[in-house]
Amino acid sequence: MSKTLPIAFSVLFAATCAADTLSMEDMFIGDGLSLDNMSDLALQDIPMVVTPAKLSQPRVEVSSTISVLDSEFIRRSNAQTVEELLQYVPGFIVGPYDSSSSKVVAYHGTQLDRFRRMQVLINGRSVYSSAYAGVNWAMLPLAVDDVERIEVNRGPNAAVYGANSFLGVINIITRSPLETVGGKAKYFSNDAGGRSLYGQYSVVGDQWSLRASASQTVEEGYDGTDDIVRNDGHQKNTANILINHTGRYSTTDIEFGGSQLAGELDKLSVKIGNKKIPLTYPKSAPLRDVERSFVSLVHSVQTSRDHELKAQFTYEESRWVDKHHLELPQDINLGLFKGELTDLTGDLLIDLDEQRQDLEIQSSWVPSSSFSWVNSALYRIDKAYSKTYFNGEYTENLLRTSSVMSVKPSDQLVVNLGGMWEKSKLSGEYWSPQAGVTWLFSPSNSVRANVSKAYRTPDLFDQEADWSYVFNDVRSRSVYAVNGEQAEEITSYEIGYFHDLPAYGLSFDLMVYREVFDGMVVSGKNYLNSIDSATKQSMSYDSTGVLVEGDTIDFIIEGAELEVDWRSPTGILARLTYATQNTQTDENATLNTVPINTASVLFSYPVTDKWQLSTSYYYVYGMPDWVYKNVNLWASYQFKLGRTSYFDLGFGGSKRLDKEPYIITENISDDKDRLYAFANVTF
Amino acid sequence: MKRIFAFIIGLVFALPVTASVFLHHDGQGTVTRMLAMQLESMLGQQVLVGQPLSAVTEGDVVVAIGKSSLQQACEASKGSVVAMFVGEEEFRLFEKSCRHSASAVFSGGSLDIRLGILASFWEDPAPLSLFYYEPLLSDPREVTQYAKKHGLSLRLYPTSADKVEALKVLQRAFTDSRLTLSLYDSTLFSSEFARDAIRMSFHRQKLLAPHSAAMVKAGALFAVYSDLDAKLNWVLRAINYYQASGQLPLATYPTPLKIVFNPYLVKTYGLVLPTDVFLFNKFGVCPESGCEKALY
Repeated sequence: MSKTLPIAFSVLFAATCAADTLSMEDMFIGDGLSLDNMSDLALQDIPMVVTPAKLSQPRVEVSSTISVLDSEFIRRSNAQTVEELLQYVPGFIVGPYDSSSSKVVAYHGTQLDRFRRMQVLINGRSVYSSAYAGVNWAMLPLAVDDVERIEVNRGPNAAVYGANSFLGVINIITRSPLETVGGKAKYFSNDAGGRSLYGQYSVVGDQWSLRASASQTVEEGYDGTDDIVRNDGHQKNTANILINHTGRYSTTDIEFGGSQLAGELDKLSVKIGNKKIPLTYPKSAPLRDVERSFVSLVHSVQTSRDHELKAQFTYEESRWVDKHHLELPQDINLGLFKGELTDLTGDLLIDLDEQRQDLEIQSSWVPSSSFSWVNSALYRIDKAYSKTYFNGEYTENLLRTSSVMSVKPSDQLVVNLGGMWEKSKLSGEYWSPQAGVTWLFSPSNSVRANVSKAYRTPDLFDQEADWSYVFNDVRSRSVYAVNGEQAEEITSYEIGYFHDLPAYGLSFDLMVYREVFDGMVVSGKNYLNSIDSATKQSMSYDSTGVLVEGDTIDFIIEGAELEVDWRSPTGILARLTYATQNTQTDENATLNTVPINTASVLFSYPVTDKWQLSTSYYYVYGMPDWVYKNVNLWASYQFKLGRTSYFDLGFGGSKRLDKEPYIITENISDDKDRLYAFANVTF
Repeated sequence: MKRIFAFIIGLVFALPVTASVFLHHDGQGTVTRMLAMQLESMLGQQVLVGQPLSAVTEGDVVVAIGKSSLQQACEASKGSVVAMFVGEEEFRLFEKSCRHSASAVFSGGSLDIRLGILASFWEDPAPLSLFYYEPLLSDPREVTQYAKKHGLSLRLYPTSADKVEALKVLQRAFTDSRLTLSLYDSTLFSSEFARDAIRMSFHRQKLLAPHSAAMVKAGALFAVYSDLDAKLNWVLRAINYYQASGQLPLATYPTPLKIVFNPYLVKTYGLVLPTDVFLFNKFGVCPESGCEKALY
């Protein structure tokens, strides 16, 4: 949210104030434009942007810490995936975990394998997994070229977005048909086999408009070393269609799409006791197959000049199977399958099917420029089916209401207050309050303070796990959750300063914070450990057992974050971010997941009208004690094919400036340098 | 007494014959009738509405409403033409095709004044964009000179009348700068296109400085405009002048011009606006509430 912020209400306000005084002049813009149809403009839905109050506010008035990656930044960053863009947000770490189809996108770390402490929305549609509350970034039905803007609320904001808005909220806003009218095709390829192909076409009528896009992305993964063999690439296909109807007092968006991912996985080895048993794959390496699809309907109506009602319904489903065709050792047959397997060569399947139906109604009332009030209610049904994790199906129901208001008692003071009450069948009731104050020194700089509390409520797997593995349709010994986990809790204190200097095209934001965590689960659940534990307790290989829950600890993270954005009159775009974190705990399991320092730089320089030279740098230190330094340099040339047709051709290279793994030990390559080329045509 | 009587008789014969006044508007029946009634009451003579242009004879005056009506009146009528609700650039484009003399009271504000006002509060030194229907600017360099005069840099984004191309060009203009200006332009700015342009500016979080107060009320940044009374007063003076001299006055902007800002965009972008007095003294524009506020 930058200055950027928004504007729906600007429009609404302006219309409210002025509509009564429209003169005859206003009856004519040109031939055929009358007062009636012009005033429609004032009453149309303008897409909301994420703000901490779910309301359009100037950035300078916001009490929380916000980062915005706008369209120009996204296009000039040359990012090939959506998650890659988040490297340019202070405090974020981004990279593959144990495969390129399993990404870590974490703010302030705290967990890497299945990062699940952040709310991610695409056009207001929540995309986290109900089964384990994480976001499968690589599987999202979205290409980076579909994205218009990303707004990140750094810090908890459960008062507005619900219990999983624990460490941050990421709102991804896709491009509309209007912004992309015509067509585009794009191709990218690097010397390691990575490539992407993207196509899009949009048509615009008087009231209806449509945008369709499709993409294919291939990520090559890590090469490994002489000692480490990696099998971690993937290919993803996506398709999306957005249909918009703009009526007299309403707008409707119908969006549907899907993705299909085929990924490679590393071969399994099983540790029983102190013995690590590598499994044998007689034919092929293990494969991941994921399909995901959704449909979303958003309808908003301007009921009066100062009130808007909006309803959003979403249906989303995904099907995930990891398939390992392997030979099981007899030890495992005896230890895990009670010796029931007659054929030790076959398929080990890890499956998870999910469905989500979500209905949200939101009322926004803005009676004056100094007061606004947003209320919303949401009902959600989540279904998860898995032989592996649940031995069947589980259905979760969730009801949530929230109320957020922004009050401006004087020109200098803005008070933002909010709270959310949430009740679910699985985890009970929670109340998440938030209060923030912003003091404006001028219309372009302000200091802010914010206190908020949020919970990460236990997910389906936490509470309802019945975990085993299925080999040739035979289920292994299971471990199951008995008491489940308690909710994790965060209380966050932030103080920030924002300054915009339009005369220099410069804006910067500095934030210091203290996050107090209670009951954080710092170790993942382990199937084999739980089996071991059950075996030891019952002295029997036949028993099922209780799932050993992860360890929980309390700790504190303090830190500071800086974000600087510069747009020069000559077209230079530069962005610098820096974050430093001090994690106050002795637990290595936590320390190893929180980087000490992160930094990113993007510098894009238009050398001439046609040539553009850009460079980027990304730095992560202290996770666990490795350093990651990656520099990227590319150039592009634009051919003008017509008034609105362009052909861009570019090439570049990236180089790792360190010799260390990233995130996990296996994420390493002997050859870390890449050369690449890209081309795109817009018509 | 005889001398007075002779003077009056002489005066009556000395005045030209009162010209018939036609009001021509391509569509918009209600609006046309409303305008005609207002003009009639100001002129004190009948204003003919809905008559074919072939009924206009030499010496008559056609008040043409909007660009299409101006074009039709210029090409088909034998009378002189006074245009309302046309932009300066539109009028310059069509006046050449007039069979007889033509004049106009321009809508909107001149680009020179708009750029001058913009320079008084817009701090970002990055180039601005000007989006326009290509035929409207016969000498595009002229407008870049205006910008330079006010210490601004202006990039030009001409387009054809094709809606898809116009949207693409506008999209490009938004990409290349934070603020895009438009001309008073009824070829491009249908109600649908105006709506789309404003929606696009919201999506892209860019500013539009349009030609119309209505678009500012709908979400653009600012506009210079004149109200209907100012325009009708100018038309009245033009007709009277024509009836007295047989010539039309030069086309110009009416006085007073007014300015409207979108207060919420001003707040959002942290803009510090010039005072009303400054705007009046330097540019002759008054706030929406009227000139009295600027002067006293």
